[in-house]
Amino acid sequence: MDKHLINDCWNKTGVWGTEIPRCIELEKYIHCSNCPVYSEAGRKLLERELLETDYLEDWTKNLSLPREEIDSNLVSILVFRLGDEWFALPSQLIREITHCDKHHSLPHRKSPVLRGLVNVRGELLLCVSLGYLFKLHRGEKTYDDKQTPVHERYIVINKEDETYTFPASEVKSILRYDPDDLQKNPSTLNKASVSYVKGVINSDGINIGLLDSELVFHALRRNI
Amino acid sequence: MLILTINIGKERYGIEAIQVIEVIPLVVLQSVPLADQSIRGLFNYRGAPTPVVDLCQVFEQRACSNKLSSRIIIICPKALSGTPRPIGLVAESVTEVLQCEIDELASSGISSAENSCLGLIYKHGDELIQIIDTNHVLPESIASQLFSETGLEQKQA
Repeated sequence: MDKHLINDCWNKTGVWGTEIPRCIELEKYIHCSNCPVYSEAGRKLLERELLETDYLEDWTKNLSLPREEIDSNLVSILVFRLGDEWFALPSQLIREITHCDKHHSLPHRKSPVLRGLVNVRGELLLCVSLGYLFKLHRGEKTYDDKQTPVHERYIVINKEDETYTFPASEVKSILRYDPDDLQKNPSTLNKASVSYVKGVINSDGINIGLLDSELVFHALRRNI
Repeated sequence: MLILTINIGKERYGIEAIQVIEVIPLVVLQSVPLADQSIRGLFNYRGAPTPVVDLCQVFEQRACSNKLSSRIIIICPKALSGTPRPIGLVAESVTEVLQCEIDELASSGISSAENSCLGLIYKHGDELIQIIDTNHVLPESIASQLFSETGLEQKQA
């Protein structure tokens, strides 16, 4: 199929073009990627004759290799930092990661763990401080460099009908680990947090404390 | 249920996604001389020699077009005899999947021993999509050639 047979209206009157008048369909589809004309053109590209033999040979070679088995035992966790310490919670509990907003403190509440309320997409959620719960100190090292700026984030966690939001100094990534690789807690972890940590995972040279979600939720419930 | 739609000539067909192991691009096939015309050849699929049947040849007695959208659908039909093993089906325009409800399917009302794999119709807009049951898609004459283990048995004996 020749290129000129395709009318690339998306490059002219669509979202990637500047021609006026604009495509009237845009009002309906908002973005060209939702438009049937665009997807039809994409499919037309596949109606080309298969000429490159490299393509055939590459695939023949690729498919002759055994399939890479993914270890289904792996558990997915979200890695984040509080102060100077790295922690992780099971990804299933994470409902959302969002930018930090102001929290509104609640009067007559003296618990340092409960910081107040935050507005997440119009929903008022309890904002708690895991740092206080674990009796952590403010971070001393700097993690921010020019290449990878570090941002504080709110993490929204949810278990059954309990939802909490807590600020984390940094959210690193989602990690998959094998439960058999879980190591015992080293003595360097401070005493308060160690009771909430199920075990330690080493990834890229950092030690991550995997939190026991049952205990964390229980402690939060008790402290607010 | 999810159906993978394919073209054979002008007609549109569907295969239940649950019957499909994988959809892969066309590959270089080793031809098998003296086999049925619709058996396009053999290739090494993840370590196992796997026969590839040309659906256009089965349905319309012509070879599938050599386009990027023609792909191999790996299925594992229940064998008439012997152990089931994956086979590849080549069809045209293997580019889309559709979501449909089971109660949206209708019977075509046409059935014979030769087309026992067809029978259900899914109406998608103005289009009628015939659902292919991959367990019965191969005519007996071809299936018997694909699932025979005679060579191996002779060697082992």
